[in-house]
Amino acid sequence: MIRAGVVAGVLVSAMPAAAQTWRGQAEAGAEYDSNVRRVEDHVGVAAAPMLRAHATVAARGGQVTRWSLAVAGGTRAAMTDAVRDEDAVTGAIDATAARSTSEHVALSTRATHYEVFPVDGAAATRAFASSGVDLGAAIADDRDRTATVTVGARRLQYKPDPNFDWTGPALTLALAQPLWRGEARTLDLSADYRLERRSYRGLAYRNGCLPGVMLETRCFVPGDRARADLVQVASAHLTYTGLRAASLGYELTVADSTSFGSSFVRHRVSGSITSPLVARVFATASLAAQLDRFAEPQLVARDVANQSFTSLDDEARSSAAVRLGRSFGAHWQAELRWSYHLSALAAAAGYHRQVVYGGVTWER
Amino acid sequence: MRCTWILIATLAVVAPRAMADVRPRVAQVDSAFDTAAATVTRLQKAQAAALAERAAVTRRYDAELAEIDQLKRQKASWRRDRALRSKLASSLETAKALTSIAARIRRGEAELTKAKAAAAAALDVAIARATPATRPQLERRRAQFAAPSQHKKIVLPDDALDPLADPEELESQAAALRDAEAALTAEVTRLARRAERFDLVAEARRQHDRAESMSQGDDDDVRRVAVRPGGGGSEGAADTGLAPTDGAPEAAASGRDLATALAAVVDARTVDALRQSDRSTDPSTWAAAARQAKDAVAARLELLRKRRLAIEARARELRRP
Repeated sequence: MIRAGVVAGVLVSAMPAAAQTWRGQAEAGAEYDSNVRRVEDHVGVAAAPMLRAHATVAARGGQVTRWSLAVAGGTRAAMTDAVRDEDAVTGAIDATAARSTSEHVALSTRATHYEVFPVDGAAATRAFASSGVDLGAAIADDRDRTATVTVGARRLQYKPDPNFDWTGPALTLALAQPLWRGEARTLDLSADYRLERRSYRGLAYRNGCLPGVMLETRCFVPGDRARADLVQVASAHLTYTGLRAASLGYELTVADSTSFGSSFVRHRVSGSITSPLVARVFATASLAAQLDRFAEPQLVARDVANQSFTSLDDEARSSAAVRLGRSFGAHWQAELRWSYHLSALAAAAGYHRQVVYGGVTWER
Repeated sequence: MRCTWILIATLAVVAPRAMADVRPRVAQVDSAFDTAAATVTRLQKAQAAALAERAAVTRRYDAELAEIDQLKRQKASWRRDRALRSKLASSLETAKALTSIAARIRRGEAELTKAKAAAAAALDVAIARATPATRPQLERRRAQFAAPSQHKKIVLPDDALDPLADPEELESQAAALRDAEAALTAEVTRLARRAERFDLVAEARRQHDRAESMSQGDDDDVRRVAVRPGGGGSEGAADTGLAPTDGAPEAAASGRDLATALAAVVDARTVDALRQSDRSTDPSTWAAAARQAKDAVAARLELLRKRRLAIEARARELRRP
């Protein structure tokens, strides 16, 4: 982590000098989280005040071949000793080079890395590292419609359990089309499709119980082949921009896994609207609803000690959030956000979480 | 064999009807556009005739006014008064004719706009159904029927001081410059309002994007207690996306119109910025372009004012005994 910090420090200090344009963003704030570990209600939730800070420096340059580099870092820490395992430092780097081959076509290459460094050792359940490299082609026409295709590879390292590490090829297709343009008002449509084939380090589970037998933990038997998933994500978003801004999106995820109990279909609908209030304060209200349908029943622990479980076929999750933001001068902004998350399709898998955040951001 | 003949006969009866169901739709588009285009042509001709008539009547009216002015300067007499009355009556008739022609031109303008909109709508339908090969041609024709720009091109008068000009010429030049200054002042106000409005839009968008990015970072996946032997994974981590790409600049409002209107007023770089802002969906780009144009127009206005003051000073100097 120290080595990564030194590299990031050198990059951040050298970037503004080497770039034609650069921008920086920093934010810091405090939040109250009613369920810091994001566990189900019956497990015993822990509430804690947290501190968060995050900073990004991005630079751009180049004439014929345009490049951009963004380095980001952040930290989160609980202000109580009871939940030390949530303390972490994050780091990210994103490098892109792009070159236009004609008026309408551009080719690009991109490398990204994001990593969570747990303060409390590698056993922290949210510690992971995600990397990717891509080659892409973007095509635009005279009517401002764009299509971008990328092919590349992804890698995920899940630090607490290497069985969940995976690597694999990925393909993405993104389309963007302006639907309507007026004086200071636009309506845009974007659609994306992503395909990933994930090859896991761990073995795939198979159902070790006879058909028709009630599912139990003993039914999950490791097989003799490594787990492989085919994940497809398709989404469409409609965005209106005017004196108010609004967006509406739908996302469909289909995960087809060779491991018993890991396939699912997910539908997610989200919408949000931003409107100015008094004194240059802007309010944003967001809603999201998600429905997961599992190919095989999911076992959720009700009481680990007594080995009692609940089997789920479907799971619904919803969230609502309200954010107030106000800019001060050219660079500063204060924000206040409340969000509420719940999952309540099955009483045994009930999940509630509330987060209240207040902070400031600086940007140039 | 009999069945084959029955099938052929059935097809022979049905197929032309089916074709006939399709053909009128294409023909409808063409005929709707042809009708609207013919109306546009007819109205344009009528407008051209009305404008020519107005020019002729205006010339006649100016001549009558000049004659009246000349008569008024003559010594009062019965003959002069009689001629003056006659000319005044005649000029009144001409003024009424001018008013009537102006009303006709206004009506014609409104009808022409409506007819152009109808032609454009018919062309939009045709473009939507066109093949990639014929679409560009239709789109070019569509541009002919686009709604007229709200912004008229600002043409600035000559602001150079002619050392050989007489005071009347200089005063006339200064008056033209004053008119241009008024037009530029109005444009600066319009551009300032435009930049302000775009700033508000940009702020709404910025706040919305920030709220969206905070929602994406919610990380609200439920962490389940392990139920599989040896497995303890949270699926949440596996869904971690990569950092989002910076959005490429795209499109917006009427920067192109403004660029045309201000082409003779501001520098080429500002004209380019206005044109390029039209291709961006980022409201802050629109605001920046509007602000750049406002500053450029304000600078030109200041220059024009200084030159007008110099011209007026020269005129005063020449008039001094």
